[in-house]
Amino acid sequence: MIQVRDLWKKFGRHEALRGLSLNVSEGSAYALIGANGAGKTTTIRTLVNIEEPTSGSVTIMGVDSRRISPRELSYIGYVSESQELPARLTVQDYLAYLRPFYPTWDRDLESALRAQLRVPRNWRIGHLSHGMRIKMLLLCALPYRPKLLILDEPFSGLDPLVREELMQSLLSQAGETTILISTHELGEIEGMATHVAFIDQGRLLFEQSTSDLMERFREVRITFESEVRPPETPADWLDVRSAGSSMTFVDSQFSDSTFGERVGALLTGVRRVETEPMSLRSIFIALARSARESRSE
Amino acid sequence: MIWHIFKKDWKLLWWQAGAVVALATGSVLADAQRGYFGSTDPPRTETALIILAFLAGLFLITELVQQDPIPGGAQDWLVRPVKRADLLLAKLLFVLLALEAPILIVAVMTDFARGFPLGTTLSGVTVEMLAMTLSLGLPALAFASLFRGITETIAAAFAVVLALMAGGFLIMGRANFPLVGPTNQTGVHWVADVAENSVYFLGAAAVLAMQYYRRQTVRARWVAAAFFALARLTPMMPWQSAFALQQGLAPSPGSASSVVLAFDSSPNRTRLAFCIPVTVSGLPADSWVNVDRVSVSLTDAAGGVVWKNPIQLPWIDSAKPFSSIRGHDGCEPFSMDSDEINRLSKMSALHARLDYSLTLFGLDKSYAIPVGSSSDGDQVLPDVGRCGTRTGYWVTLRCITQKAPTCAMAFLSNKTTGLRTPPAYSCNPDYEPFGGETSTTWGSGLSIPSRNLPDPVITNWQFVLRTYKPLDHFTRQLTTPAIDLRDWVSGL
Repeated sequence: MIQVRDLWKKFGRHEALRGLSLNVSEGSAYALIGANGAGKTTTIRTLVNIEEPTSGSVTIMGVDSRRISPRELSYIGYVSESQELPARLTVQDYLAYLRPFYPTWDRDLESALRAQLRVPRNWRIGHLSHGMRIKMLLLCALPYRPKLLILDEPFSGLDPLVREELMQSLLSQAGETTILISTHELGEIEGMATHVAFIDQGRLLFEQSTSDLMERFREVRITFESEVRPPETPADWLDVRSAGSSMTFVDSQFSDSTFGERVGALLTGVRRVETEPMSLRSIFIALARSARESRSE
Repeated sequence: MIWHIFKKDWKLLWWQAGAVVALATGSVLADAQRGYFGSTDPPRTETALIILAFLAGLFLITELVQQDPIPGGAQDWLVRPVKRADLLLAKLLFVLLALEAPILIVAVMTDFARGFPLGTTLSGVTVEMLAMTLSLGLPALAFASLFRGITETIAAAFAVVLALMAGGFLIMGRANFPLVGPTNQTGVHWVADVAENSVYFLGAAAVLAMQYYRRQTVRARWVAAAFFALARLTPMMPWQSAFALQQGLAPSPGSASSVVLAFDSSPNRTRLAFCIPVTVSGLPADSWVNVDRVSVSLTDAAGGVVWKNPIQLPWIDSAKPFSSIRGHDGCEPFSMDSDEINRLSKMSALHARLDYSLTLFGLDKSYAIPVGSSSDGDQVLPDVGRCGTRTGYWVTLRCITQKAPTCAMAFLSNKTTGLRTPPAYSCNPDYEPFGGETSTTWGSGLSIPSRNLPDPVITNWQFVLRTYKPLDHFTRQLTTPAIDLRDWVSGL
């Protein structure tokens, strides 16, 4: 559905994207995660030709992003927290304006979504709250059953109730839609994302299926026989901390079959080893912290 | 989808479009209200309406573009299946249908009500509106497309005005500085005007294409600045190019081939200081020559130019009749400062060279209009417009025209004796080849003293109006025999 190859994007002297490569397969729910300024929004804007790549290639639905036409856009849903809508139009006027652009627009689905999201029809868009505006954007992005739904920080600044409403709408209507979502709110997408890509400073750190990712990350707590000096640890052990006779870290290459053997080879005087699966949010924090530390070094 | 986008914009901007049309209609109706004998200059309220309509129109165009702004990356339309061409054409359609068409309809109806034929009225108004769209509406659209939001656009417009004022102070020492080029105040001025408007149009087209198809805002701003600077420089286009184009458009090319200009070598004429005596011959009947531009230079024995008169516009004595050369008493004057005189007096065997750009005018139409208080009133003069006379101490003819006669002469003629009063003249050469315009009062009209003759006497006279039209545009060069500036200096 989306192939990004060695994508570079410069704004003046600032390099927003530095050789980024991604592959979003059809039917997946692909989460693009990364700290603020990592390049997520620039990547998304390049996909839909809002920004032109400095170099590299972006193919979306089989078309070079620079050649993307209204035909392809009629199959793409787009929701961004910073999206600017015509403030003086009412919700129903804007929906009426959009309908003819989408041959597959389903008015029944539109009505169902409007009821589900509880977006007031007669309000001017400029009078909508932030949360209501995001719901309105979703209402404008789903009724034509897009093949690809791109969501750029859709949950940013929303209260938990609205987030839940959005997620419910997304999950109920997504169907076969391929979803690309960039977000900080990893808790919301944990059950939905099939793939995760982590971007840092315009570079892709990794791209993996969510199940594999959850499988290979573990929060580890090791208790030693006695107080020990922090030992040299391998690079794939992140966020290593030690206090007294215990040490905690995140193993980013965890394997059930080899972990015990590895710990035995690297550490001595180990009394107890505890491993815990991690949430996507915890993985993101560990990775972001690790990336920041390696930059400061 | 053009119409669909148009309807969306209409829904949001209809009342602003209505306000602009109302202001423009007010100014058209106020103009119509003045009639023939009202002030030829618009009163303050009419001027205010014109200015307000103009500014409101520009504001509306800005708002129109900013409904779907181009710069930035957050606009919703960018991710919608909207064809860029449709969006641009919808904006153009709005300018034409919502803004200009209603004004055009009001202007046509006003002119039609004034008695002008619908055909000429429509063509004149259409040409005028088309010119306005290409040279003003389109550039305004292009300018607004370079900025994000109304505030930014207005701030940029102010910045341009301030930059122009600063440039004016730097270049010419004053804030208001339309560059005065060689075609200024001549019948050929339209060439520079058309060139300037064409540059605005081409610049606007380039900017709109860059913005709507490529969204290259930074580059488009530079392109806009370059075209704007070029447009401001067009008044400086060389006279020869402008006049050559005019020659190519002459209505009766070759009709001036028999016209000869010669140096008058009679002894009493050659010693006149700073004046080259010139005679003209070979004029067809009922015709005269207008000097559009004359360049006087002095050359030495080897033919090198040693001095050139910086003023090349002809000196026209408006009191002079249309004799062979309009406003010319057979002598081509020039001025020279004392330093130049001292320098050149030391040189011998100087020749004066005169390069003329000329237009041959011929009689177009002649009208005999009855006068006297009982005859005063409306009448339609074909090819002039709707006219009226007023008899008092003066007999005055004023007209509302779609295109005022370029040059006209009028006198009172006694129907019985054929006696004529001294004529009055109105001449404002304008060789623009396009059709008419919306109707306007013929600025000067013509007035002839009749000294309050009572009706039984004055009705025996008639007001004769003769209009002249340009036939051919041509050039002539004269070189005088050797002259001695010391003769002139001693004669002063």
